[in-house]
Amino acid sequence: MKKEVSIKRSSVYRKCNLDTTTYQVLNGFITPMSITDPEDEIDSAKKLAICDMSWLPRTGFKGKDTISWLRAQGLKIPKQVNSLEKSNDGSLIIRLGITEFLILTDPRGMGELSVELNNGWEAKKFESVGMNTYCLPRQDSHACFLLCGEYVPQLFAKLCAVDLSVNHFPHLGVVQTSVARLSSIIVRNDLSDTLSYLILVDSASAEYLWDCIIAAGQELDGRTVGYRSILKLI
Amino acid sequence: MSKAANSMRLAEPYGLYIDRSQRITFQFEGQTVTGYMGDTIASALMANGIKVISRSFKYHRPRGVLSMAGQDGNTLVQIDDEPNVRADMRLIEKGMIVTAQNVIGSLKNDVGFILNACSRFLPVGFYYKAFFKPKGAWKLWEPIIRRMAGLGKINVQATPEESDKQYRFADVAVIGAGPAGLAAALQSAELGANVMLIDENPMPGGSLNYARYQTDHDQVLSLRERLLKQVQSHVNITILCNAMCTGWFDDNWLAVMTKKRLIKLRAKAVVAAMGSFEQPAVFRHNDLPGVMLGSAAQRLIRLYGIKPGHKAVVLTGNDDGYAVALDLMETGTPVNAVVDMRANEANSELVTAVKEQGIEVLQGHTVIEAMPGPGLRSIKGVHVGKIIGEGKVAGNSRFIHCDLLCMSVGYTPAAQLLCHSGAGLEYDEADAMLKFKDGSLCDNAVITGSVNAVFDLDAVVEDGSYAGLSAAELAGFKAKNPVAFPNRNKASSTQNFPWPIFAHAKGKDFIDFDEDLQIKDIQRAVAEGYDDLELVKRYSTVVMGPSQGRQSALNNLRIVTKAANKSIQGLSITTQRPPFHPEPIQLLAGQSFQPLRRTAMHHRHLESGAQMIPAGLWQRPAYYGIPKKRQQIIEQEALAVRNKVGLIDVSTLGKLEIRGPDAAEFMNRMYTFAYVKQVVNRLRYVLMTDETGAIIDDGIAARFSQQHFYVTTTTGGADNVYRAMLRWNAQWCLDVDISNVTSAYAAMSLAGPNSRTILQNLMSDIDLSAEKFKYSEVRCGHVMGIPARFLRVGFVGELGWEIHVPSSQGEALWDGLLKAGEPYGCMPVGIEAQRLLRLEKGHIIVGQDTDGLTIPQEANMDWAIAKKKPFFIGKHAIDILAGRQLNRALVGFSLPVDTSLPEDCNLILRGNDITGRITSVARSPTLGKIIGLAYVATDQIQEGSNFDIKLSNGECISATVTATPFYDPDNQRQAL
Repeated sequence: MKKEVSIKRSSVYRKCNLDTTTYQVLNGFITPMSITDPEDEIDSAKKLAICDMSWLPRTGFKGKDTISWLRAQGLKIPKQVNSLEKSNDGSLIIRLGITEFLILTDPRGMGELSVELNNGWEAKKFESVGMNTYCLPRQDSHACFLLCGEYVPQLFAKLCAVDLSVNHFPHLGVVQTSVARLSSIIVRNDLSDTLSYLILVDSASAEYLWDCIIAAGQELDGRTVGYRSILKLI
Repeated sequence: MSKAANSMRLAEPYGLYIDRSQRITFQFEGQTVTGYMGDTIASALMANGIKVISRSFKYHRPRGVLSMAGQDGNTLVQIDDEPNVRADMRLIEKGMIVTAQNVIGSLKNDVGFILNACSRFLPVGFYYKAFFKPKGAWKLWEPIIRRMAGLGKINVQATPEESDKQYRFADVAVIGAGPAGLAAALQSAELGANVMLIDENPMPGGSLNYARYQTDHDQVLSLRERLLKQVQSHVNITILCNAMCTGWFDDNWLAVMTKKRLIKLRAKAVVAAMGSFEQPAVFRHNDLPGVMLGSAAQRLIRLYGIKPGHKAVVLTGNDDGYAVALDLMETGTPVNAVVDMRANEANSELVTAVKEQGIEVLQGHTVIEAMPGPGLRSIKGVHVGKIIGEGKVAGNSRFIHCDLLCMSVGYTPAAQLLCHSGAGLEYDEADAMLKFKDGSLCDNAVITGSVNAVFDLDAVVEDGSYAGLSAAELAGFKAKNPVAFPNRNKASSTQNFPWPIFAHAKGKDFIDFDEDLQIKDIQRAVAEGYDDLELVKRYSTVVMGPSQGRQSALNNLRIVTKAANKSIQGLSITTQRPPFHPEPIQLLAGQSFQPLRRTAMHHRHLESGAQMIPAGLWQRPAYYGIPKKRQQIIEQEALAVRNKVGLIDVSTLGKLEIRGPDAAEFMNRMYTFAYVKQVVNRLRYVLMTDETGAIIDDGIAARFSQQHFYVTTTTGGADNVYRAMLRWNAQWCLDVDISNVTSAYAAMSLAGPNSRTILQNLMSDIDLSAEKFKYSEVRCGHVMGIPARFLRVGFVGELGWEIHVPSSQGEALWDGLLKAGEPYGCMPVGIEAQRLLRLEKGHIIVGQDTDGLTIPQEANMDWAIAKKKPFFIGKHAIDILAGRQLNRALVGFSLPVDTSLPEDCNLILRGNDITGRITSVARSPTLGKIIGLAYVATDQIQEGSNFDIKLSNGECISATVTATPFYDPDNQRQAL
């Protein structure tokens, strides 16, 4: 068993585990590509669907030298807290605090930015040169779900006290708020014509939030879909 | 009750709410009743000539329609399992079974009606003075009173339907879609505001849907049509009908109730256009079926297409009564007289129109008494007399036949929601009405229409537009061009007759219909010393019934102030509290949100048969197996660790990264021990105290570099410790970064003599030998290819490691360790066994072996204090306390294994004095005795001495003070 690379598991991987589920390994995670009928899932994704995107590569950095270090990597820095910029590979550079950033690969592509930044960050080297930039384990501290379809604002209206309707929360908007009483980071990132929100939550509470979303989505005919249907919407 | 079906129904165009193409049949008191789609229970009954809908709470008097707006308690009925349904609001449904409330027997033959004849033996507050004497009497009375009390009957077995909550948002919320609300919504929307228009009725329009306002009703209908068309087609306006706003909370948070959903509406500004409640006059038998508010008659006519009676008298104190008379005449109901309380004839077109119809107008008169029909189920006429003073009538009276008496004597603002938001009412003696105090409205609130004491229709519309403009501006929108409101300041007028209260020598002149309170009841309460409104309310229960004073508060205020000989000017009514409308609890419940946390191995624990227990938001495995074998399993798990190896999920421990140039200094300040000189790649215990020196948390700190500490906390303490760190460093401004990475890492403790062998087989980049990886050291490396942090700890007193890995790989490692450990007897171990193992080592658990006041010296933890440090949180207090005599100390104790097992918190005694308590106790299979920790008096700590423990069953046993650690006192096993 030595040197065996273990497959990573999302906090909610059991939620998608049906006999009909098809899988693929993405970013080391066993990832459901479809759960039932792929065509039905595409239709559902246009109305209301949830897809586990916890495999989506991401990382975080904070510290007073973080902005200068990210700039040195050629990245554009979002001007305000709770805003984002897109990198050349489509990754989202999300500013969560004055000196805190989340780097999230866009669901459209397999951007390498977060991996490159992780590789470029070396704790001992940074410490020796007095650079105060600290890496945060966002891949594991947070689960990541994608909610898509025209009824997502109605779903959020049942779970979140912040107005996330289409007119008040624009494409590429960022908000840090409470969803079902759970601290969450929400990014609106539409998939072509389909309304889409990424939501990142404490991975230990991911199953709880997943269940809340499924329960709230029942009256709106929401369903769970695999990543393949998301790719089809892009 | 047998009447021809829909005998009182008017032809179209009357009946705005009903659909005559759809007949609906339901049961009322065993009788089949037919109505139309859109009918309420009350309107369908009235259409069929059924006037008695329910009975009163105290005297069981027959009651019928009063307001026809859901604002009174006269029409509460039971529908199947659902009690207290307002019959004038609830729409009929096919097959619905409706019964009256407050009846013993049936609505027609109610045995409880005998109480009406006994009313003089049941004065106000009688229940405070009766039933408790002679001794033992209460036991006889209680079941009777319990049977009599309450309203409808609930089915405790009923399963509520699912409902849910919803957050919504608006720039401007307009409560009430009457003429003022419609105009306000339009004006706000025109300025660009996103408007939510809320109305409790099936369609917008408010009083425009039923009130006449003027002789030419077509003008009113034209206005209604224009406003509705504009509002309904405006893209910025969302209309919520059948929606009741039940509470107005801080920051314009409105609770809006729909049939199956509670909407939490947040608005930047709110227009309060909820109108006003028409008030009844007070005279003998003013509560009987056939006596109703003028607006109720108008609602019956125009909303439901129903003739409210065959012959009418209108009692009025304003011009609105004349409009009611015209409506009645228009629908073929003869009006035998308009009894106008005002001394002087009003000069208005409405009065003129009434007189032109030949209706007799009795100026300066009032109704003294309604003459009841058989069983008080109707009226057959009224006695009318001339008013000669406030509440006084000339001796001679005149009888006028009628089966319908409509009252239009004034209004009170529908102020409840505004009062929730903080607004205050005061009585304006000049206008004889309650008005809002200047400046008492909450931020970003505007009032308009009759709630703002504006009654003239043109003025109401203009006042609404002004309110809409103001609200939009408060919400951040600006008018491009100035908007003029030339008539707005001419708008305020009164509709209230100052004293519509005429006491009768024989009583039954009701102030509060809900509670059957008469004028003399209120006067008696004042005479007994309850001369304040709030006291009268509590003593008499006035305004405490289902209608919450909507029809009684104003007249009660008048009577109390007069009886108490106080000035009424500037006084207010009793406190108004949410909810404004009855709220089904299922609607408040909705989907509940109670966050949970689960470790990466949670499902593996369940699959292994673990009994889970909560630890804060987490779920942790207590032991693996069935509850019946609990003790046996815990001992097996503990012995596995002692003799072979066990795997414990410790992911719930808090995990914090402390990084930066000042990391060591920060640790030094936060914790009691010394960390500046802590060697890299070594562990050190951490103990946190608060400013009072009390122990609040503990854990371990792994130093991975000069500027990097990885710190664990207790399971329940993680968030508090993290917050405390952020808070303190906000003051200290040390160059350090604090990150809470609790969820990012799964952690498991592999402990036992075989742990090294198992772990070494799964890794290649770290040498786990005793020479290369000593006790209290830490390393970073890989296990099964998974990046991991290895902490060589000894919490359970055996050779072992805590292994911290990314949470996404925790389950894989758990599986791998158990599989690799199978040949070595490895088994999952729960926290009950872990607690036993640590007790054998004498290690404390913060929160179990400490309380909110425990200082380190009491818990024998002064070894964990670096006394030479200049500062740590709590040092000052600890230094002071160190110079004082301790009151208690934590000691180990033991008992023979066959002794009754004490429980946590059993008391330690010296004679009859309590000197302490047990904090932890268990039967140790390894040591073959019962061991525990207990706080005792400082003179009871001598090793080998005995103290008494009082068991839960009262028995006292003697325990022996025993040195800790109980197991492996030289700590050799953890250093293997």
